[in-house]
Amino acid sequence: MFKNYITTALRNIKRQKFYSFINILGLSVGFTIFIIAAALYSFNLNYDTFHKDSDRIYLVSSERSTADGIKQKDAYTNLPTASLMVQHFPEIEQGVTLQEFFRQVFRYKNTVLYERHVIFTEPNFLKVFNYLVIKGDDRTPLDKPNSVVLTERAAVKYFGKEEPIGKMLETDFSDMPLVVTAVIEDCPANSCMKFDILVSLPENYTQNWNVAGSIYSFVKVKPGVDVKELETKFPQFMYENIPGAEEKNVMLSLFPMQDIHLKSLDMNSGFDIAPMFQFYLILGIAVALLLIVIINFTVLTTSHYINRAKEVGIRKVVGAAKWQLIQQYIGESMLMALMALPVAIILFEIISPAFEAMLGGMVELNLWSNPLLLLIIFSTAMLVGFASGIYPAFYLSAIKPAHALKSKYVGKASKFNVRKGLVVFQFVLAFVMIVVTLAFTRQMDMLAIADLGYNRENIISILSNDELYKKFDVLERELKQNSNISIVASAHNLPFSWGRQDKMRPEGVSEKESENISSYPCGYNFIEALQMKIVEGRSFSREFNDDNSIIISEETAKHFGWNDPIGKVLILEERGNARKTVIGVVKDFHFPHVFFEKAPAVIFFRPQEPFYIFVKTVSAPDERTVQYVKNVWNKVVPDIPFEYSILDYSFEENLHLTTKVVEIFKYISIISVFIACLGLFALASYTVERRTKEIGVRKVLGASVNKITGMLVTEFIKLVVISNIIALPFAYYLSQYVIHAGWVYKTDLTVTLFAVSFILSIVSSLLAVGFQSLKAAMSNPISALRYE
Amino acid sequence: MIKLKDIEKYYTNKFIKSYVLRQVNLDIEEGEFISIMGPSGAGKSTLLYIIGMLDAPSAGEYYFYDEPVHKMSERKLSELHKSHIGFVFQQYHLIDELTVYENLETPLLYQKMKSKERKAMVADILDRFNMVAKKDLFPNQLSGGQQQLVAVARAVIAEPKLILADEPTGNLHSDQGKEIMELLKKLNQSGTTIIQVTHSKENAGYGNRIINLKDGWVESN
Repeated sequence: MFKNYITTALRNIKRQKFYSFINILGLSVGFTIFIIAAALYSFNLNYDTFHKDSDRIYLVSSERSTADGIKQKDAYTNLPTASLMVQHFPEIEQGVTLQEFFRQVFRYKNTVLYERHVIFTEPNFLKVFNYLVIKGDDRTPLDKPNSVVLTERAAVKYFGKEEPIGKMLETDFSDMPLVVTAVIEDCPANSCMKFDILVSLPENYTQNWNVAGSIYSFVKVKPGVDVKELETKFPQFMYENIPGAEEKNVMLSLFPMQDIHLKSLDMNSGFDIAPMFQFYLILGIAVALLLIVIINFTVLTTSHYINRAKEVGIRKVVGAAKWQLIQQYIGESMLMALMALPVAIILFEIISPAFEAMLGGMVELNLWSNPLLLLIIFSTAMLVGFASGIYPAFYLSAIKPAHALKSKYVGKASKFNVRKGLVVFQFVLAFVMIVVTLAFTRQMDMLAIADLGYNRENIISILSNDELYKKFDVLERELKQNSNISIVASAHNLPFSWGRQDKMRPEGVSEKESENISSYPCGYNFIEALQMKIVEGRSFSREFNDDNSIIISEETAKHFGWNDPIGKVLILEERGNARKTVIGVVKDFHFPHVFFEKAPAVIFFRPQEPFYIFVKTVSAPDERTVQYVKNVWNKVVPDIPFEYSILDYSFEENLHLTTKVVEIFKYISIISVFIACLGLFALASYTVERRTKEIGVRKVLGASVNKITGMLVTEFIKLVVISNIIALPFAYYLSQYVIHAGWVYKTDLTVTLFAVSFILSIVSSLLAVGFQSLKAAMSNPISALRYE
Repeated sequence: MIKLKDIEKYYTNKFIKSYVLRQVNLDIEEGEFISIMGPSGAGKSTLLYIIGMLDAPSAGEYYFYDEPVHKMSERKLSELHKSHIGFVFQQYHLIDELTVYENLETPLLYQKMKSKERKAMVADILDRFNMVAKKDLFPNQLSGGQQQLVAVARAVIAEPKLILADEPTGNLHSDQGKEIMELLKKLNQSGTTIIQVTHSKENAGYGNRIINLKDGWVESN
């Protein structure tokens, strides 16, 4: 039976080459996009699952409730937290403390480089987490002080082909050189912790409560432990063991490591996190595309049902029951899907490297390592095949043999045309996608020009470190000799990649009500170099002692309800309850990632930590100016590597991922329009086929080619126009949603945007139906009429 | 075997009924060879389709071996149809995508027959119809007469009690036509009831009874 079905199906596919080609093409393209989306989703869903027992590894996070009920989550804890927890709770198998260090200079002979991802940690790091040791000590590489473990990539950077084990690296933070004890594999792309170098913490260092910074505590619980129950024991543990726990109103909890990547957007941390909604959006679009593909298949198959009507009739005559025919035709479309799947997988394998490269190596799309993913893709393909077959199967199996087997069967004309309805639906989806994509693009363009409260133009930013503090004056003086250089400033970070928050409270408010507020330490001339506008008070200055001065944004003044903010005092918890006095107010500015809301922000004066030097130029920084800066730099601070970037470019790179998402959207909407046009093309050829006689009669009666083409084209364009009108509200709300999903600066949805989408869909559909219509209109009427 | 009582068939278009069959009453005994004759549009084919259970009458009663066909569910109809009735058409109506062998096999597939048994039956009929050499050819590689031969073979392969033939020789040369008619006669002689629609007096002569239809009415029986 199945052999007979398959034989028929395959021979039919072969006989109707063109329609089979369009059908399989549509299916494969839809599947390819779905596979990419599914692989992307699966990649992001499987962050940190490569650790053995990853489901038992938890980050100790802290949560603080402010007076107004807002909960602030922090991934940071204290150095002794992890070991104390291991001592107290038998449920916890292991714990490890790690401290992430900001960029550090490492030296080996003449190789002097910055390392951006350095983690200081305890010996059991490699026992809690699983990173494969390739060379050296695979059991106790971090047991001795001043040991260092490199990733393969880092090892090659410093030692090339030399044997790295036992080599010494020099740094600024340690007087003793560090000994390389092991080389591990590079961090997998799906690791929320990205590091190149692990350094052993000094002995007894983890007993210190007073170290602030990016300190993380991870614990591995024993198998079968109820984490919720374990957490109920935390309050007492904290009151007994953590100094000042009660006053601070902090609660510890355990956050599953596997959830960090996708579910910790509201947590203050330095991990590699991603907003889940992007993936939902991509997956949603892929599914919408599959829907278009299903419709396309349905329209194509039913348009050409005349070709199959006779077969249906015969099969019924020789004894086929209706359900057997339904089974056969659904099976046939599933066979088509099955044929399209390998094509899609090949397409995916061709596209995915380019796709990975486009996303800057941040993702790895791999189908074969995840059987569940393969199963989902296979079942989706079969489901699409099944869904595509349903309507045609019922349609075909309902054909009456008494009609189908008559000599001149041309099919029945129906008033309500399902095909037209489906094509309209396809175009509704396509139009929505065009609008959303354009809105997205506009949003990105807008971000590039948005007024973020500072000016990033004409700034050369140079990586730097503490060592420069003492030499800043010399550097500034020397650089300013160049007439193109107007300001030299020192900063703690780049304005747009700043996410640091500190716990603080206004003077006179209880410690419990401290809250996390964005805090930006800056150095000399920072406010001036970025041309931030002082609206009240003054900027930092070397003429005053500004060690305990702060500048706040207008939003901050509003937040604390200060009408006259100058002279007000904020108390900074982590810096040993330091008192900081407001000396100035700046116009609101937006430093952190553009996804976050505009919030209160405080600028501190801390010139001792000049991690970046900004050189503001009068005209756009050219090569000569950069060369001049480099020469001066190498003369003044020869020990610090000269690594620079142009601030404006860095800003764009910072938007990189999102820009790429927009690019993906563009491709997907082009594809969806293409597939929708295939559907329209099929409908056009069907209509023209059926109206051959009518067109012939009209021509004999004197209608011109133009008129007939116009008549046919108008009919289809009418459908597209109707689709666009139906799609309008959906397109509007969805693009509104996309724009409001995360960005602080929102573009407006203008009429132009919708007009452009409208024109795009009309033009593409004209291309799809124009040729068919013209061909029909130009055909010789005699042959059309003789056909009867 | 077949009893038709006041069978009517009409189509309604904008509240106007156009009749194809009017008050048809027929009794057909097992083993008969009946020819239905009449001018174009008299309703011959429609009557044949109704008897073959491929079309439903608009009114009237139809008993097949005393079972009321007009009251049956679609599933039951399909069961009855496929186990008792074989069809032959003027246009042969073979499935173009299937070979001779596969075309012959198709009715047996719907009978849910075991593969071994099925193969034996197809081999047997190919032998009986002298078509073994042509079994792997497609319909369009055969002459009209050969195609009709395959169609007849397909109609009889499941050994139906009743064969319905709608102008089986209409598209054939007279020699080929004769061959087909002889074949039908032979089948009738071995016990199969045959009802054919025909224009040809000569072909009608192969049967033992003629029913004349005109404008949907049975004129003579």
